Formats: sequence, structure tokens, C-alpha cells
Amino acid sequence: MFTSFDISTSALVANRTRLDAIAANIANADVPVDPKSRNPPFSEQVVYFAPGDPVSGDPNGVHVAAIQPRNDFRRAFEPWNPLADKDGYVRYPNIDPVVQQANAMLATRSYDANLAAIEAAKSMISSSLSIIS
Amino acid sequence: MIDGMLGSTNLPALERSLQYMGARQRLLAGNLANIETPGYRPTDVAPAAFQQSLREALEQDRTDKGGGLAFDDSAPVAFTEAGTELKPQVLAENIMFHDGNDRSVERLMQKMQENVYSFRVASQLLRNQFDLINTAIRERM
Repeated sequence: MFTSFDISTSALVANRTRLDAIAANIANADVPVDPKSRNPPFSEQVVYFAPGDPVSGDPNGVHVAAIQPRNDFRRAFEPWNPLADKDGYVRYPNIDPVVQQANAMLATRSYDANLAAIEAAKSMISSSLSIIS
Repeated sequence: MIDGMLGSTNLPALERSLQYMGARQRLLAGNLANIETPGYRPTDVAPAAFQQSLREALEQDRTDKGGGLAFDDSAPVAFTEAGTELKPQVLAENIMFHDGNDRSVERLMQKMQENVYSFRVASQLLRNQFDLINTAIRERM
């Protein structure tokens, strides 16, 4: 009876995860790479979706299969920067804010669409409830 | 006579279902209240587990030819004079956050909505059943 809820909710969770990754990408777009840091440098996080929902076991749902860094960096000539290498270049994660904004809109619209699907399923169940009342 | 009227038909099953759903709604509300609590793991009693116990109790009642619904100790819910007691299980179905919380607002709201619909169905069926009894008492439609 509630299978369509399971499917739409799995998509909600997946798109929220995607939006989390996009928010992290936008927030860290201008963070330079510290060569002395022991932590791995931030690079664009890419979220990969895959069909099937492992939580409900429904093959029609969706889930996040992997979140992987793209490991792509751009170099900026900033000899005054303490993080610059011997040639005066500083590395930044190669994140395009325009692409991130577009992806954020896609994720939001996708979230909205799945929410609309849930509302549709809710109204269907409500109408079938009126059969017994 | 009143026992025979209220203890038979599907009234006991509906009553137990409503009690279970009311208790589960409180449980889910507790999960929602702790959505920001570090280290909190949400708990739940799966409807399928309750329905399995209810089915077994109904079958037992049928073979015993009455006597009321009895849930054994393996059931995920216990009905006592003091109230309904759930035996919830800790869920681990989500990506873990760094604070150890296992939160998922969407799944929680989905469960609540499903619970509300199930409650509505059961209470409507209960009302229909009582309307039927009322009609029989009044002896006119």
C-alpha cells in the first residue's frame, strides 16, 4: 500500500545528500590547498546515484552509490601567499560555481518533484479511505 | 451479552491495532524530537512485525473458538492494564553522520504519514462497526 512512499522517499534522501555535497563544494571553492596539511585537500565531491533502495529493498527506488572527490585542481599565481610553491603558484579545487548552482537547482527541483509525487500518493490514499466512510 | 458483542467480530483486532499505532506515533515523535541529539539512534517497531503477531493471535483465537486475543512474549508489543508497551528495535539504515546520529527526516515523516493513514483506516472501521451495533440496538435503519 505504501510502496510509492518508499520510492519517493528514497529519492528525497538521495537528493538531499546531493545537495549536501553541492553545499560543501560551494563553501570550499576558495579554500587553497595546504601542502603541509596532513588532511587530504578538498576537491569537488561528486555524488553518484544508482537504482534500487537498499533500505526498503525496493528495486524501483534510488540510492547514493558513492561520493567521490574529482581530484581536479587549478593553479593560481599568488607569490605573496604563504601556501605558494617555489614558483609562486597556489592550488585551489577546480570548482565552477555556475555548475554548482545549476546542480543545486537540479537537486532542489528533483526534491520538489518527488515531494509532489508523495502528495499525489497521499491524495490517492485519502480518496480510497472515503470508500469505507 | 455485552462481552459477546464487543469481544467477537473484528473489534478486538481493531482495538489492538489502534493501541499499537498510538504507541508507535509516540515512538516516532520521540525520534523526531531527538533529530539533533548527538549519538541518538532512532528506534521503531516495524508494522510487519506487529501484523505478524496479530495474525498469529487471531489464528490462535480462531482455533480456541474465542477467549480474546493473546500476544505471546515474542510479540514486539505488550498490552497490559497499564497501557501499551512497545519493544522497539534500534534502526541502522542511514549514512552515519559524524555526531553518531542516524537521522533521516524524510523516512521519519514517511513513517509518521503511513502510521496516520493506518490509524485512520482502523478508526473508521471501528466506527463503522459501532454504527452497525447502534443500528441493531435501535432496530431501525
